[in-house]
Amino acid sequence: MLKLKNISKTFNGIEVLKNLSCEVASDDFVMIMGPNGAGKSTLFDVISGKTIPDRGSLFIDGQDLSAVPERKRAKIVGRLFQNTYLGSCSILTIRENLALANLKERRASLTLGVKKFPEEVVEELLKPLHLDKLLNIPMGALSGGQRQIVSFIMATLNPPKILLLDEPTAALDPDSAVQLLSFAKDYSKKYRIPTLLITHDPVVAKHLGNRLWILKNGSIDREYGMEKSSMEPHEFFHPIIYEKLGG
Amino acid sequence: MNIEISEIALHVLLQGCIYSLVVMGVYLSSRVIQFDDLTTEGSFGFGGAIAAVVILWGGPIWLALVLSLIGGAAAGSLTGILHTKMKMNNLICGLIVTTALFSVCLKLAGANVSLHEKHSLLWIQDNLFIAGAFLLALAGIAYFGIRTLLRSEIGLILKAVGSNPQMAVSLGKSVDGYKIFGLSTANALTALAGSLFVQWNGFFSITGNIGTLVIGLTGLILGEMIKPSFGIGLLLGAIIYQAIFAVVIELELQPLWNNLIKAALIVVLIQLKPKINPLTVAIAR
Repeated sequence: MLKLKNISKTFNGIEVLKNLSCEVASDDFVMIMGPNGAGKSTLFDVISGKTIPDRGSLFIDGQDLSAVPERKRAKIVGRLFQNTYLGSCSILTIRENLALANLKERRASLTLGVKKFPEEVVEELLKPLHLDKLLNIPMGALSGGQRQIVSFIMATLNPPKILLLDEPTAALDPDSAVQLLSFAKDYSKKYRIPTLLITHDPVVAKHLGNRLWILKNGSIDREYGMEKSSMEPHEFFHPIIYEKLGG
Repeated sequence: MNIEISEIALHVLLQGCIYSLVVMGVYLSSRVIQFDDLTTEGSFGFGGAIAAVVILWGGPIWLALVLSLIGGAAAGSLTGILHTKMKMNNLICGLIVTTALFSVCLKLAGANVSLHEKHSLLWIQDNLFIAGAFLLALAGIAYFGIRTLLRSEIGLILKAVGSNPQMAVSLGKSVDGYKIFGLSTANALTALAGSLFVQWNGFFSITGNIGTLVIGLTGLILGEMIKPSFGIGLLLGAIIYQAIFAVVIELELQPLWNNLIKAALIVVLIQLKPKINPLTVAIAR
C-alpha cells in the first residue's frame, strides 16, 4: 500500500507538485491522466526516489521512505519508462539483462555473470511471448514492443511493492501495446501489486484500471472510481483502434 | 641483418605487451563505463615515477609494480571522486589529476633519472628472453583478469553503468561507486604499464608519458578493427601499433615529427575503421 501526504516539490521557482496527497491500496490499478507539465512524471520520480520532495511524506507498506534515495528503493519500486531503451541495457543480451535483473536482491560477485540466470523465466514467461529463441540477442536489436515487455519482466522479476508504469505504450504499435497492458494487468492482479499507470489514451484510462486520477497543476484535480474493470485490453483497445483505421 | 630484424621484432612485441595494459585500461574507461579519461596520461607517468623511486631505493621489482598499481588506482579513484561527488566534467577531472601528478612525479623522481646503476631483471640485456617472458606473462595475466572481470556479475553492472546508468540505479547499484571502481582499475593498469616502461628502458623522464593516451587509443582502435569487443585483439592492436612505429623509426625521419605522425595515424585509422554498431559488438561476443 502506498500513501503520500502533502507532497510538494519546486523546481526553479515552479511548484511542480502542490500538497499532493493520495492513498493506493494493493488491489488498485490507478490510471493517471493530465496535461504536460501537470506533474505526472515528477509524482513517479518522488515515489521512486529519483526526486526527493521539499515537503511531505511517503509511506509504502507503512514504511516511511520520504528521505530514502532511489537506489535504496530498488527492491520496493518497479518502474517502466516511456523510452523503451531505459529499462534494459541495449548492448547486453536478453539473457544477460535478466541475469542483471536478478542481481537486484544481492551483491554482485566475480562469478560468471549469466551463471545465476533465472532459467524458470524462459519457460514461464518468455516462451509464450516467443522470446525464448532470442535469449542471446542484444536487447537493442529487439523491437520496441519486445524490449518493453522484457523490461517489464526485468522490473518485476522480484515482485516490487509498487509498480509505476510511465506511459509504457507510448512508443508501441497497438498490438504490442495491448500485449504489454494485458501482461501488466494480469501481473498486478496475480501478485496484488498496487500499480500506477500514466497514459494519454482516454480509452485505456477508461477501461484498464479501477481508478482514474486527473492531475492538474501539481495536484489531483479530479478522481473517478471505476467499480468494474472487467474489460481486458484486447476487448477495448483493439477494435476501436482498427475501426478508426478502417481495418 | 636478420639478427637485427628479429631483435626489433622482439622489442616491438615486448613494448606492445607493455602498452597493451594501457589499451586495456582505455578500453575499460572509454568503452565499458563510457568515460573519456585523460588521467591515463598522468597515471602512466606516476607509475613510472614510483618505479624509479623504488628501484633507486633498492627495492625489488614486485614492490615497484605493486606500488605503481596502487598509485594508479588512487589517481583513477581521485578522478572518479571529482567526477561523481563533486559533479565535475569528466575531461576536466582527468586534466586536473594529470596536471597535479606532474608535480608529484617531479618531486618523487626528478626530471630525468637513469636506473642503470641499479640491477633489475628487466633491463639486463643478457636476460632479454627472461624479461620478455615476464612481460608476456604479465600482459596475459592482466588480459585474463580483465576478461574475467567483464564477464562476471560485476562486469555486467559496469557495462550497465556505462550504457544505461538509470538501469543500474533501478537495480539498486551505486553508479558512482562502480564508476570510481572502473576508473581506478583502468588507471591501475596504465600505471603498471608506466612502471614496466621505466623499468624496461632503465630510465625515467618527466615527459615520458606524453602521448600515452594517443598510443592507448590508437591501439584500441586497431584492436577493435580486429575484433570489436574485449578480446586478444586489444593485445594485437598494441603490438601492431608498435610495429607501425618501428617502421616509422626505420624510415629515419627526424624524431621531432613523431608526435605529428602519431596524431595523423589516429585520424587515418578512425577514418578506416568501420563504424562500430554496439549491437554487432554484442552479437560478436
